[in-house]
Order: sequence, then C-alpha cells, then structure tokens
Amino acid sequence: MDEQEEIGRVVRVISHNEFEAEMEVEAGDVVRVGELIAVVTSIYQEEPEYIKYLGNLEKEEMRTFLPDITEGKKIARCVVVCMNDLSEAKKSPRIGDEVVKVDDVFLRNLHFSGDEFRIPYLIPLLQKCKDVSIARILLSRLMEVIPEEKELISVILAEIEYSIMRGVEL
Amino acid sequence: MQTDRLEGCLMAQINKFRQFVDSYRTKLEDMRHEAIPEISSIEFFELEDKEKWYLKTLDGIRAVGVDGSQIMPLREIGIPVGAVQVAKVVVVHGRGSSHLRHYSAFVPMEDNVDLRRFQMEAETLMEEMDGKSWLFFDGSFIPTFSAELSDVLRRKYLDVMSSLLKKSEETETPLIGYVDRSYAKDLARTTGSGISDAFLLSEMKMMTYTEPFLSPRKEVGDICFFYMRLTPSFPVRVEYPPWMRDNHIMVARIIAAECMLGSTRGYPYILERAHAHAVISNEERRAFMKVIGSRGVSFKWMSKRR
Repeated sequence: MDEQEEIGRVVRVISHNEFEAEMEVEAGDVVRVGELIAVVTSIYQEEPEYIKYLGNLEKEEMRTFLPDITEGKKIARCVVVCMNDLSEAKKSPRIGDEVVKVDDVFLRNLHFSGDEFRIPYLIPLLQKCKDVSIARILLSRLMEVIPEEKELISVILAEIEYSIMRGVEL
Repeated sequence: MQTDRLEGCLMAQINKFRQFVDSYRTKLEDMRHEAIPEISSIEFFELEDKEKWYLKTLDGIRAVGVDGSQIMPLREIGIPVGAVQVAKVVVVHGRGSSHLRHYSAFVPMEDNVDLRRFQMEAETLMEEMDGKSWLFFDGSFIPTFSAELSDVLRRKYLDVMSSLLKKSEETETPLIGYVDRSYAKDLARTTGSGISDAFLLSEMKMMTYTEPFLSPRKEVGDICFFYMRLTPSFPVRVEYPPWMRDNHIMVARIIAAECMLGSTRGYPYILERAHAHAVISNEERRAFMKVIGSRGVSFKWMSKRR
C-alpha cells in the first residue's frame, strides 16, 4: 500500500550519523535524506512559543486569537543506518536537507538492493539505539511489506528480544 | 585644520564617551522643554482599559503581517550574490485560523538587496488587499534615503511605495506602517526644534495616542501619522494612508490591541510573528555561505579578521 509522502527538513545535525528533522513521522519509521537512509528513533515536541504569552491569556483565548503559536514543532530524532543501496553510510546530512518518509515500495526494494533479502544495518542500529521497541516496530513493518520473508524476520525479532531478556535480571 | 580627534583607541575613551552622551542628553532635554509649549494644542485620546478589551477589539479581524530579512552579497569572501527572505503571517483573531508563507529571491551584486526586499514585502502585502484584512508593515511609508543612493534607486523605491498606498486606497484595505523607534521630526520641526517627535512626546501618558497629522514630507503623496504610547519607553509612530483618517479611533484601537497580544505589549503581535519567521538565523547564514562556497577571498579582509 502506498503512503502519502511526508516531507520534512533537517533542523539539527547532532553527529555524523544522527540528526533531527521537523516532520510528521512516528518512532520506527524509515526516512530518506538524499542517498542516506535513517530510522526515526524518538519524537519530541519543542517547547511551544506560546510559553512567553501564558501570563496574559487563557488557553482557549490563545487557541483562537494566537492560533499560529499554540503548537510546538514536532521533532524526529533519526539515526542514519545506510546508503540507499544498503552499503555503509559514507556522508552526513546537512541542515536544511529534505527528509522524506519512505513508502512500502521503496522499503521493500531497499531490502532487495542486492540479489537477496538483507538487513545489514540492524546490528549497528541496535548499537546506536538502545530502545529495542524501535527495532521491533521496524521489523514488524518489514514483515508486512515483505511477507515472503516474514518467517526469517520473526526469528530475528525473537532473537533480539531473547538477547534483551537475558540482560534483564528477573 | 582643527578636528575633534582624540589620541588613543576608542576603548580607551569610554569615560569621555559617557560624558559626551550625558551632555548631549542634557542639551536634548533643554530643547524639549523649550518646545513643549508649542505642542500644547495637540489632542490626546485614551485607550480603553477594561480587562482584555483588546480581545473584543480584535475578534474576527483578519490581520496580515509581512516582514523580510536579507543576506548581503559578501564581496570579501567572493560570494557575489545576496538573498532575500520574506515571511507573511495571516491570523484571523478569535477564529483559531492562521497561515504562514515564505518567499525568497536571489539578488546579484549589481542589484540593490534592500530595494529587492522592499519590493517583495510590498508585493506580498498587495496580494492580501481584499478590502477586509488589516495589513501591517514594519517601518515608515516615507523613506529617508542615504546621500549615496542613486536617483534611479530612489525613484524605484518611491514607485513601489506609491503603488502600495494607491492599491490600499483603491481596495479600501487598511494598511499600517508601524515604526517602533522613530526619529522623524515632522512635529518637532513645526516648533523650530531639532529633536525627534518621539522624544518631544516622551512624557505623554501611557495608553494614550495623539490625533492624526499629515506629514509635511510628500515624496509618496499624503501620509497620515500619529504617536501612541503603550509602554514606559518612547511613543511609537504609526502611519497610514489618508483615506483611513475618518476611522482614526478604530485604527488606533486595533493597532494597540495587536500590541497587547504581543509578548512585549509594545509591538504588534502580527509583526512580531512575521519577524520571527522572516529572520535568517546565523546558523542558516553559515549554511547558506557554506553551500554557495566562496571564490576569491580578499586578503585585505582576512588580515583584518580577529
């Protein structure tokens, strides 16, 4: 199923493989910045500008009289995982670069960039992002987009969850 | 040749500079006191002070604020092109509706960046002249030109300004020029004083405004202006085309109400928002320069960098 293309902009570069973008996405989504592929690892809302007006007006008055400032910007923190041929990322995004949420067709084609199905970025992603739910969301989506590899992906997911559980003292 | 040159660098003259400023201020104060009797006939009006009167005043008003910023061509580092960014914010107060648009342009070194910015701001305002909206422009409609500006550029400025004012009248769309810190001397000159109007009126009561006046400067035809004091700082100058004069009280109330919504209460909310969106941040400037790249850095300029 094709999704509507969500487009945002890089607003902050944190390191060579981490950046923040202003756009409407969810944690676990995959985005593209030029040739770079990145995974959204967290979302936060920037402090809304209305903070400086709070003393004067009630919330409802602000919503109707100052409608342009009631929402803070939604910021997606992203980790670069690979290039668009699944090779290792060799560059960094720049402020102002366009960020596009990739659709199912792109995601499927990406994982068949070689002759066979591959997820070479998974271990680096797990190393960079300690929140295992991000990998779970990503793998669950891959299972939907690439149903013929569902069994393999579910084994990988089970392995990840098992290794996490081993690290937890019960 | 006798000059007022001082021995030593500027930072070594701070005490002398302070003394100079103090004596200059005293001189201005004396001039103001002399001129005050000459303006005793000016009529002042008080603004409403009921709680949140400004929300009632603005309810249903469609306000449009336009502001711009620019990057000048950087000759020293070999970037021969400047850029302009204009932001337009539209808010329908009390209805929860708003939108924001940005426009930008590239300006080669042989063109004038300030003029291009002004043209874009005027163009953007004119698009919103629908006979219903209240349009806010950050600055005066009566330009003051530097001596270096060529006649051709002056003419271009005046033509754009005249078109803006003419269209406001034709479409009956209220157009406000808000001058936060004005050094105009239109009133003060009538008293024979050399001080600014804002300084002359610096003791007018808070939350009051003056009657409208016609500016004696006619470069763009007739312009009405008045002064309004909303904060302990100097009064602000407001200008509008003469066709709005019959609605002076409503004009002053709407502008004051816009200011009450602003974070400082001394500057219209809609211009505050347009300004916030128009600003090209230092980060963006750096990114812009980096992307463009430089060719032919001036070594004279480099040698002066600290």
